[in-house]
Amino acid sequence: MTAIIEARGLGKRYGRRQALSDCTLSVPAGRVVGLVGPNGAGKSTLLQLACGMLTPTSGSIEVLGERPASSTAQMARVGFVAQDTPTYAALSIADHLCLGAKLNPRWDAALAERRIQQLGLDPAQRAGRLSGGQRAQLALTLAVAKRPDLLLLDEPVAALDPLARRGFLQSLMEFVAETEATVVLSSHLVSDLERVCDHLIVLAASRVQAVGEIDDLLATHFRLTTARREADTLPAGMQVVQADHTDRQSTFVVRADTAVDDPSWVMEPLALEDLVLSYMTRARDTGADHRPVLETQR
Amino acid sequence: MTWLTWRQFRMQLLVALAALSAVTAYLLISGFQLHNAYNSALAGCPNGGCSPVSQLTTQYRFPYYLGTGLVLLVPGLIGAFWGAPLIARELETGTHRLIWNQSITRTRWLAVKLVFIGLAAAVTTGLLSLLVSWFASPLDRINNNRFTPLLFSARGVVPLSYAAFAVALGTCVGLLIRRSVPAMAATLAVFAAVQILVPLAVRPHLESPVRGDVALTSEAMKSASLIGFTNRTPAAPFVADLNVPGAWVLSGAEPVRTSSGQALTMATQPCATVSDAAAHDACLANADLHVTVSYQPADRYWAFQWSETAIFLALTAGLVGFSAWWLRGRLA
Amino acid sequence: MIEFHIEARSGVAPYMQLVHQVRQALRLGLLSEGDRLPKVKDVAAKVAINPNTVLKAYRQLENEGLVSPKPGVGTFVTGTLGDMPRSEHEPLRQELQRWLARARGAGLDEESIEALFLNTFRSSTEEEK
Repeated sequence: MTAIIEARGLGKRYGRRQALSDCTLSVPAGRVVGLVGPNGAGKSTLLQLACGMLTPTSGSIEVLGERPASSTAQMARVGFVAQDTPTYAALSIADHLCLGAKLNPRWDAALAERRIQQLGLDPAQRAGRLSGGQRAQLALTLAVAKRPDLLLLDEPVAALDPLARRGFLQSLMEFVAETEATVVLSSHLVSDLERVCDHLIVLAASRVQAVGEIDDLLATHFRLTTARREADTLPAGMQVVQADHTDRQSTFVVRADTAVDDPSWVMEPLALEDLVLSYMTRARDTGADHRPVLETQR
Repeated sequence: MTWLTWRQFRMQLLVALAALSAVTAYLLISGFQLHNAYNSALAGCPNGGCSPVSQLTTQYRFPYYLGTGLVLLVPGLIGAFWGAPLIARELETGTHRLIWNQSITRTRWLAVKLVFIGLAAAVTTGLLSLLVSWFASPLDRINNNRFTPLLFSARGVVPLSYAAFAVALGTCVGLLIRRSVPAMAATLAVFAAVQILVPLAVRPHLESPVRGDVALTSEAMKSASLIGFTNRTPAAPFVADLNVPGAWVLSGAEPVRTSSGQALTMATQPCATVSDAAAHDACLANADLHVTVSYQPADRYWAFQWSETAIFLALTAGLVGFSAWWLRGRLA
Repeated sequence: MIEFHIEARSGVAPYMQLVHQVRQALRLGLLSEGDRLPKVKDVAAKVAINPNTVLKAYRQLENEGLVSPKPGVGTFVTGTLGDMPRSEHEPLRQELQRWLARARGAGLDEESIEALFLNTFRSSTEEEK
């Protein structure tokens, strides 16, 4: 399996603030990767490092086998839709397509025009007068008509209403189905990610908390409810992600290869949202604690 | 990229062109009138020094000051209105994150923008400067003062280098401040400071000034900025601030001396007894008096023009280099 | 042609939801042998789900012998899910009823019975995979 993004010990520091630290991960080709985490977790930073908008302060990152933005040929293969999907307010939709055509060697004019038509947009309309959803669609059109091998999207649907959000995700999935490109999409809407992604990166407290195929993550995480006991009394092979205790009861979120039947506890599968939340909670509670990153690979 | 730059910039360019055409029309019309009036006045005055000729300077004062003022102002305005928003506007609206993710490097993006705007600025300023120089040429010939600080900045080739500098300055300030309006204000402020500082502190030292004696002739007295005594006591020194035709006089009021070098006072000046003003001046002119002035002679004019142009172009290059470096590494 | 939908809150994996919907359509007679399933791209675009999820669902259906892909053309229904006749349900139901009675007799309450059934059902389907 070829890695599209390969980060080793990647870190980014703004002055005193460490936005991302010690991030090691590899994104396999042909996946739709969800990047999830609380605000300020470093999602934007990671995406901007991947497209070359930022340069790392430590570690390294390779995208499509090269340093990001190291050459125009490499830039042509990476599409990026920035947060709030910026467009030139004074330029029309047609102007934006013209811009894309002139600045990108692999530009697919037919695709771009077809998409604008499908969306029912008037090419003469100025981008400044589009709705948020339409603007996001325009930004996506610009990015996909580049015919990138890797498409990075930074919270593209955060500001959209549910209808526009669905429309955007439909367009995105159509693109994925057509081109088999790799997509990395950040969001804090787990339900959206569960729908469109097959790979997940949980980022919290500027660190990668969990990474893997969503199916694998779901198959290996459980909620375990039992009479009050300490986490270290659980059988080996169960890694505790989160533990909650009352005076009688203990609830654990554990990672284990399979569910273990035991009359003394109830072990049930975990919804993706709960899984993500438990990693985020752990990151918040442990702060800068250097816990090993969980990688599920099968 | 050139297309995009043009597309983004055409509004400003059209506004500038409209303004420039209005000024051009006005200066052309009064320019032809002035040139005709000057030629006919000269024809009626073969030996020079006639009042119809010198009256032209007052008659055409308004277009003269307007034109000169515009050449002084336009580079600063270009820096503020074209240079400062060039990058700041993109950073402000976030569109840099759109454009830097097309298949084009930031350096090239900056280069195209700067070359395009820089050329537009140079052409605009150059045309305006040519037009004003043509318009004012009769008056400049009459006044013979193109080396004086303000006129020096408004004629010749320096305005072009100011325009280039202003664009680079605006771009750089916009890049650092990242917001258009504050960047525009800061650009204007810095540009104005440079325009004041250079004639005061840099230009006089481009070459060491010549110190020399200037005879206190009646001509010299006529064009003097100041002549007289520092106060009304008998011991008050007799001083004069003389102009040297075509040159840039750096010294202010200097003591008036006799041919033997003795500085005069109110009591020792030779024509104290002559009460009639005209006779008094004639008496002084005949007394073989001298004033030592330091000045940049008229024949250095073009050397100074080119030196100052070179300085501003070097500053421009420095700012552009810094911007490119900042853009590549420091900014996201 | 059938139309898919995904229920985000159902807790069932999206690909399984697609599989269920195809099975249901077969059972209801909305799909029959020779029909083409919607293209992966169209499903992805329409439902806004990952094309890999659709592929996975189609592969699962293929493994179950219900559909088969024709390269370059599409995925076609090849099997039927003609439910067994009602009469054949009856012995199974009776067996289950006997089992339930035994479980109650052993002192299990409703919820324990349900949990036991579901756990066993789940682990046995997992083993079959």
